[in-house]
Amino acid sequence: MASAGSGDEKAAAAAMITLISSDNEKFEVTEATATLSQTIRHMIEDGCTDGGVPLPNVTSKILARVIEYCKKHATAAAGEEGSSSSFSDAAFLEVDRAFLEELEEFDDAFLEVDRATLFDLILAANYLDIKGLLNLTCQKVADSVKGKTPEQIREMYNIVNDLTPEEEAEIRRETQWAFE
Amino acid sequence: MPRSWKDADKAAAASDVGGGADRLSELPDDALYHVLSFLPSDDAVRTSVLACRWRHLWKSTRSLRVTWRRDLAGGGRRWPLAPWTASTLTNFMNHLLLLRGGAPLDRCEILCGDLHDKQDKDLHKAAGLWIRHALAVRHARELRVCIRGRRRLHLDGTLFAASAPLLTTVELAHATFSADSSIDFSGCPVLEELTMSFCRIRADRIYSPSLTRLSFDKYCNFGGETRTRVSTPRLVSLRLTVCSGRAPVLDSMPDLVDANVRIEDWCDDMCIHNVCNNSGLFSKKQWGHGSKEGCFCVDEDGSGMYVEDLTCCDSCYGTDDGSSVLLEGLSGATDLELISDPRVFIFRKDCNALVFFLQRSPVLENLTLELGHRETRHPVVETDKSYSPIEQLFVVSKQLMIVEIKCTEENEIVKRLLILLTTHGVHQEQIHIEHDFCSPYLSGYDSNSDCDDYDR
Repeated sequence: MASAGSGDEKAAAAAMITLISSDNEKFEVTEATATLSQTIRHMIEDGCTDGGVPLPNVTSKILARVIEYCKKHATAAAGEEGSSSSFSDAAFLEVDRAFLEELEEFDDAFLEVDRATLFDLILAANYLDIKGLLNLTCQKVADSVKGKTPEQIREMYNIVNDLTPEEEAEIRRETQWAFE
Repeated sequence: MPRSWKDADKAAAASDVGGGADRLSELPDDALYHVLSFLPSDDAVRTSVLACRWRHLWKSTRSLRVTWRRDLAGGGRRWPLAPWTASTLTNFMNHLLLLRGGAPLDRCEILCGDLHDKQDKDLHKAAGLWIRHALAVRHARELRVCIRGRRRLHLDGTLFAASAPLLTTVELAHATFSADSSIDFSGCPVLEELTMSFCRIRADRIYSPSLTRLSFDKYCNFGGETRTRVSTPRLVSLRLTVCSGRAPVLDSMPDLVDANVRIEDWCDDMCIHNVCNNSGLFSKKQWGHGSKEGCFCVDEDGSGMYVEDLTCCDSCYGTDDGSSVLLEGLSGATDLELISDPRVFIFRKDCNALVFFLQRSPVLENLTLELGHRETRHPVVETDKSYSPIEQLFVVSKQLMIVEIKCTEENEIVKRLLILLTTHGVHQEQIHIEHDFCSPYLSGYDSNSDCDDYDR
């Protein structure tokens, strides 16, 4: 794509990183987008991204979603850097606020996925070390569990209780202080 | 209510591909610690009975969250847990802190709200210890505390002087700091943000070498015998609401960008003479704190005659050199809102000293003046009669672009302000006056009720 391009395009291409999903699909992303992942950031710093970054734990379906998230939040991060020093007036803060609201709406919409996808996203965020995405997805799971009894949580997430009744009684005695 | 929860859960489970698998428990430990860190800590501990896999997970979470337990009679949660009491909270916190593992605590939030018993004799000491443990041993980055017992939570100002190497954010509500102490954040080298609400602050000094954002929001009471001195040389943003007591003295804040200062009606900086509407002076005893009777703003017969002994007023200021309470700190601001009833004498003098302030604010860009709601008499007008603009001619900040004046009606005080501002080089078109302004903060509520100790 960039082969016959101008100098500018070449410079842009130089800052592109290729990510390769477990099912061998290739995704070209900017370095700014890719480095929201600490894992990839370290790989770039170590200079081992030539020929693409294989991500054997992430399917193309999930990687596409992860990249969608990173693109949006990389723009946000870039915006913050640009604004921090010279502007502090109210009008600019207004713009900032509008952008943050937009980002929140994006996050809310992004989380509207089935539970299997949510867990895949957690695994990918954990593996790629993308703090914002990990927070977002884990918070969603935590919210679903909050205030529920152990029985309700087991039912909800198909957790098999492999404790013997004696063990369970023992743990309940040990943690009685949290049931009061 | 319960039915809809269950239905939603079932629907969610049915929509999953391979709905029978326990995807949650299959997550790696790190991810599960992370999930648990978003739960209230009591919920997190209770996951230990889910299955073997879950037994010890809660011990490694990097957060401590105690949240308000709603009285569940009205619905909300399906599983009724009794609201926190001083004894259940103490029991819970002691167990949690002693039995959790050695993981750092990134976030420590004890936001239990109202305690439903009166036996909180030992709570204050215990809470101090929890906080100290979280800061010094577990290196918390964020600390939020709101515990409402019979009395405000009594905290020792030296709590933060001990090492808290990673602490960046502190939010305290309903706490009290005693007189003859200093709230000293010298042990917190990276502290950036401090918010206090509904606090009673009688400490002599608040000190932080690193703080950039400071907010005394929502009815803080500065009830000390001497004014609290705020020494935060790196401050960028200040929100200060003095609802009762006396406004703190602000030390120099050269990096200050925006400031919102609100001196409420009924604080000790208000001229009582106007409160009692010239029917004489309240005695010192009636008002609890000193210096009131030194402020002789006598209007003997309601004729509008006005006499002010400024020396006495100066003595009310409580600063050794008679310098202004707020201006030293605020003079670096580029965006400033000053909100007060005109009867607040600190402002009245500072309004005389508004001149003084404009002289000393070389970088001010926006100035908003909100002038109270009630129109009785305005000593500032009278005071200004003796003030001669020509003698004190100066040039205001070249960057000053907008002055907003909000008032209930255009009156003498506004006219006087206009003369004052235009005399000093602020163009008429830069001044916006909002008439019929009714401050949402100054009218319609009893500011005292939230400020007093609960048992007073």
